[in-house]
Amino acid sequence: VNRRSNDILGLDGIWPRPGWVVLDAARETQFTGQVTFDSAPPVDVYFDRGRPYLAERHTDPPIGAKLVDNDALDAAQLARGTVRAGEHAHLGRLFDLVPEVDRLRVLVTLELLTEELMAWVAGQSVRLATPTPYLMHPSGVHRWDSAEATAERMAPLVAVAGPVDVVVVPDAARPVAPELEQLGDDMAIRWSEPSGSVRIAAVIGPSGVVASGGESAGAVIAPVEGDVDVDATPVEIPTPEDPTIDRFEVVWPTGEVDPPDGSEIAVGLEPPTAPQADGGEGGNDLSDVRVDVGDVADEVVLAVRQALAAIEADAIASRPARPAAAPLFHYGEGGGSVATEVRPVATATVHGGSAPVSAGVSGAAGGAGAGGAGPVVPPAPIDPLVQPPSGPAIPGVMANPPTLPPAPPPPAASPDRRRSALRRLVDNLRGR
Amino acid sequence: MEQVFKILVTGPFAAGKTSLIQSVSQTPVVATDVLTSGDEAAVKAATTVAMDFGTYLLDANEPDEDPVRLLLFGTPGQARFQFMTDVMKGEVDVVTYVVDFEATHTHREAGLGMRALLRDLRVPLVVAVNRCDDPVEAALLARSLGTLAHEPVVPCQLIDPASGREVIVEALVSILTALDAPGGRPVSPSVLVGSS
Repeated sequence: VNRRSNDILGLDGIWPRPGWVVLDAARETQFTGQVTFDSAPPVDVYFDRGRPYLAERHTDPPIGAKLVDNDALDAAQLARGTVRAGEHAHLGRLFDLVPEVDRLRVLVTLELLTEELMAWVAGQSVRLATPTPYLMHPSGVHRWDSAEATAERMAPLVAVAGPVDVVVVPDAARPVAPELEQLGDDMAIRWSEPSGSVRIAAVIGPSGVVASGGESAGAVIAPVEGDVDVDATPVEIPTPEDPTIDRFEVVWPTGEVDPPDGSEIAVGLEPPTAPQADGGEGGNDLSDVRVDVGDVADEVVLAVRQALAAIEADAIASRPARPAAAPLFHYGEGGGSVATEVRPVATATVHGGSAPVSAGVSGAAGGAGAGGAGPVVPPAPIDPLVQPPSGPAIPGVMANPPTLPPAPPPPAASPDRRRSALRRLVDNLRGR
Repeated sequence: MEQVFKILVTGPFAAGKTSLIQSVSQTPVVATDVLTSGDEAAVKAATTVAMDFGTYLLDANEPDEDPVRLLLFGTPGQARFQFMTDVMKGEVDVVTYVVDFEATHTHREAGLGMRALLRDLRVPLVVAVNRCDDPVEAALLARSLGTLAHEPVVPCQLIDPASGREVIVEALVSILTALDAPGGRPVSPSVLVGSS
């Protein structure tokens, strides 16, 4: 059992496994680093956030040699593109040092080699997989697909693409921008559609200075004067031409518009009122919004409430309850057998008077509880091997709780006898 | 001492699991079939809801021989009974996965079931491809479902008891191989050598 495999890849220590299970686990856990597959020969697969970028057998030649063998590079390019640091031959700057290298050819060759080997690993029965987080391939090929490299690779493609906004949009089709009457300290915004009274406080800088234009960095925009510096004078939007109730229509993606009727939800906004010095009354807050749901019968409201209560009750009931004593499962060392050990627990609450009394399986508290409002007796320790003494029956408590029979000893069959038996069975079935 | 071997027969709905057990069992198969309903009723009239159970007993003829008992457990095929397979797959000596080659609409479910089975399987696996005579086609289907390259795949016609017995024999041979291979599931020589 490899503990790191258990912890990092979420594999539970059952080996051997199919290789694709390990690959799936690395992908699902967004693993970054190296996973060594104990196959024959062993294989290292390198992942970056769950994406495999390189796979190689322990017996493989270096990456550079494989690229040369597959005509992705020539030997001279490899020599010029390799940075040697001690014993390391680093290829991470290959494309910087040798710009004439066909980058896509190199990347595709590496991808093909990796995918071929991964397909092989996926079909193998892997005896063990050892992940090592954040261990990148020493050749530095992970740098080839970094964000910087990706941007560089995409640059030529962007250059040949046409400009984005080449379509002439007629003025009539352009969205109408809010008309700005004034800028600066007395900034006001006039909306093109009717609206309720919404007052916007001045844009106030951190130091309390009213900011405008490019000076508004770090400024605070407060829609209600009560939330900002009360000394600032709010700027009021001019009264809309039509301050009456706005009706909201539901327009479906298909273009259908729900016809307004009596049940339509209408939101009414009060006409604007003058700002108050204390910021108390006159503002539009949530209480100004009225929701008219039309005539809803009491029966409907009651039914909805009952449905919600039922849903909530179901949700509570479906939550897994913590068992009083969880069964303990022990997996056998050999043969795959599972031995189950259950710890019997039986408790009951005896209502004697007003004080509930807990009782253990021994029934020791039964007498106290039966007598009326007796003292609370702590439950007696439970020994499943000790038979409870005879006593008054307690409702809800089994007088003789069942005990598990002793587990049968494992058969001491020798492998040779099993092999022999199997061969006879096979021969017998073949001869039928 | 009696030697007992257990085979778990599993697979998707209506693949032929009960037929496989019936082809070997000397005793009447203990079936828990009920009438199907809904879409399943269009496929067959009754289906297994708990398990099928069959036995095969081989007496000892010589003093140094042990009697051998083969127990065959069949799981329900519906996905909602997947837990039965999960419970039983660790308690048997070999798992036989039955899939109907011609019922292509079950192959997706078969793949899901197969991969769920293989995630933590500790015993040998044999794939029985029912209604198929071509070993290559059968191997391709099994491979697409997620089996490993070395796991035995048996094309069979489970309507024929002799064909079912071939599947069981292959399962028993897999147990034999596993007994010889350390670490549980058998590793074939080709895997040890490796090829790319």
